[in-house]
Amino acid sequence: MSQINTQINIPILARVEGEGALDLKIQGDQITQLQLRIYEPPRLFEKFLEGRKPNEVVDAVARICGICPVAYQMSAVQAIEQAFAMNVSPWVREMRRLFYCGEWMESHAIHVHMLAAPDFLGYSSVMEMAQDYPEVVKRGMRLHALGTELMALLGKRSVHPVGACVGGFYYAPTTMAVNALLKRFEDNLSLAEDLVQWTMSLALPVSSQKFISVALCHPDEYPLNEGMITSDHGLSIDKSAFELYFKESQVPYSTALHCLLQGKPYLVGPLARLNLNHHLLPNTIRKLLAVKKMQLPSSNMFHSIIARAIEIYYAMLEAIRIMRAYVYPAHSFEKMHPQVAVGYGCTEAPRGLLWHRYAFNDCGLVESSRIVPPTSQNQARIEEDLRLDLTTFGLERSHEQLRIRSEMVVRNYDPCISCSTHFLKLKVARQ
Amino acid sequence: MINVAVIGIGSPFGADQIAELVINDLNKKLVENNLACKLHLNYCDRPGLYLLELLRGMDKVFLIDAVVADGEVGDIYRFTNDDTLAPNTFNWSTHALKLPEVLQLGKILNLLPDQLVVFGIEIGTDLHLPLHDCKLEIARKLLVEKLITALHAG
Repeated sequence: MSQINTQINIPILARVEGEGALDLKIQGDQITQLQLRIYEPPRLFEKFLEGRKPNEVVDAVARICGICPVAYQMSAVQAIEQAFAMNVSPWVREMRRLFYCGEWMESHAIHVHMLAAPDFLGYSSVMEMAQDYPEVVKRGMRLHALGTELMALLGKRSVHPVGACVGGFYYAPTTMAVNALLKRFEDNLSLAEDLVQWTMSLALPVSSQKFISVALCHPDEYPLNEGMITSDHGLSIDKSAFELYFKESQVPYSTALHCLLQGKPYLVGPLARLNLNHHLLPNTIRKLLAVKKMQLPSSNMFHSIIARAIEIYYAMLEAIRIMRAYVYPAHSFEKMHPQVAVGYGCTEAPRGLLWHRYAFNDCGLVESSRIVPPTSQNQARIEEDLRLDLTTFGLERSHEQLRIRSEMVVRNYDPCISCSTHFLKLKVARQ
Repeated sequence: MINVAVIGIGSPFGADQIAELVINDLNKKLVENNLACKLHLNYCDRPGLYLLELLRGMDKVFLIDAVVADGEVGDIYRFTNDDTLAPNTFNWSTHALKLPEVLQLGKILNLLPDQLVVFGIEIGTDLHLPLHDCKLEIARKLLVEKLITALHAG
């Protein structure tokens, strides 16, 4: 067999959120270099949160991402409330789950229909796909719209919402507004079930890899806001122990940090959550998966599109449950009493585990902060996946085939590159 | 009776808020002219794809947005269904979704109203342009008058 020395450069990864690139060097039947290059400029959030008041943090972190602002706010309030020894009311706890349901629907619907589905139907973009599958795209847009409306119900707006605060929400939606949205959810619930069935009918690549799944686990509910950080390899830790097990490091070719679990890559996100928590899905969904013979846990990363569809369905059912039980509260938030303390927050962003830590000084201002988003955590796993998948796929294939396959593999993770680039430590030398 | 909507699109930043001011001014004029009950008036902060949801069921829609083109600050552009607003780049990161891409998708999915008029107000590239710059104030007043005339015409 002749030696093949090939270099493949994808200067801009298409259909991912943000700017990244991929460089590959292939020698014979081996990949000798593989670099997922994130080149979005660092955004330095961890640094400029220093000196801020707690509610300023909540407003600021929402601006890390236009697609997953709720996740940042929820991890932040959890950390701040822990630092100040606050307990929130059952109403606040339920509303935060409701808020998160909106974001899961909005984010997953966009990804499934606009970014991922064209791959599996042979189109280069949703514009091409929409011409042949208009009803599929319209269904996705309706689910996205419902998620957006739910986020706006509690956040006052869906982009960079401003409704959440330490202790709860600045205001409570009226019962009339909740009931109006509830009716829209109930009228459109079948769209979510149809979506799950549709994703399970797609001709997805067959793939099987060994990887570590990490997600929150809660004894009673599919995790959104609470739980122990758990892996399918025996890890079960409180969020305060995150830094003992998970280590971030800088790689020279990326502005986003890599994160390893005891030295190994790991997966966070919908497939990891499903692998660890599928037994906590409602009966409606578990019966559907059984009928369709969906095997869980899954070791096929291409099942991520199905996992997102399942989570949209779950979010709709959970939102309906919460809205049906809605009662207008006496208070929409608890008062905070800042103190010198450190607090930790860990919630399940659409793309996976999102961990925050804040230290507060005696003025109640942030002294230091640390934010570890899911996309950073998945970077090492993406590179591991690419190395394994492309080798199995066949390195002798054409440049174009390898490029398309690489992008599909990366898109399975729905990376939010814009979120992952704000961690560089700033050193200033003044002369 | 046909369903008519006027929808402003923008963000809370700088001159990109111009559409919200147009909608507020228009609302006051509509009340004065007894037209308020006859149409849907809305302002959206960065709606993205959600804009297409707002167009559902409408027969005629006026969209208002700030525009950065090659004109002078305060220029007013007018586009209709027949004009092409095809985006220059198409990488489909939904962080960067703009009005032309949304309308193009709407056209493919047959979600656009029979009559769509897009009014753009040129705000230029100066990020420090005050929202109440005199040229923008004039453009705002002119646009409101255009809309009142268009709404009276039916």
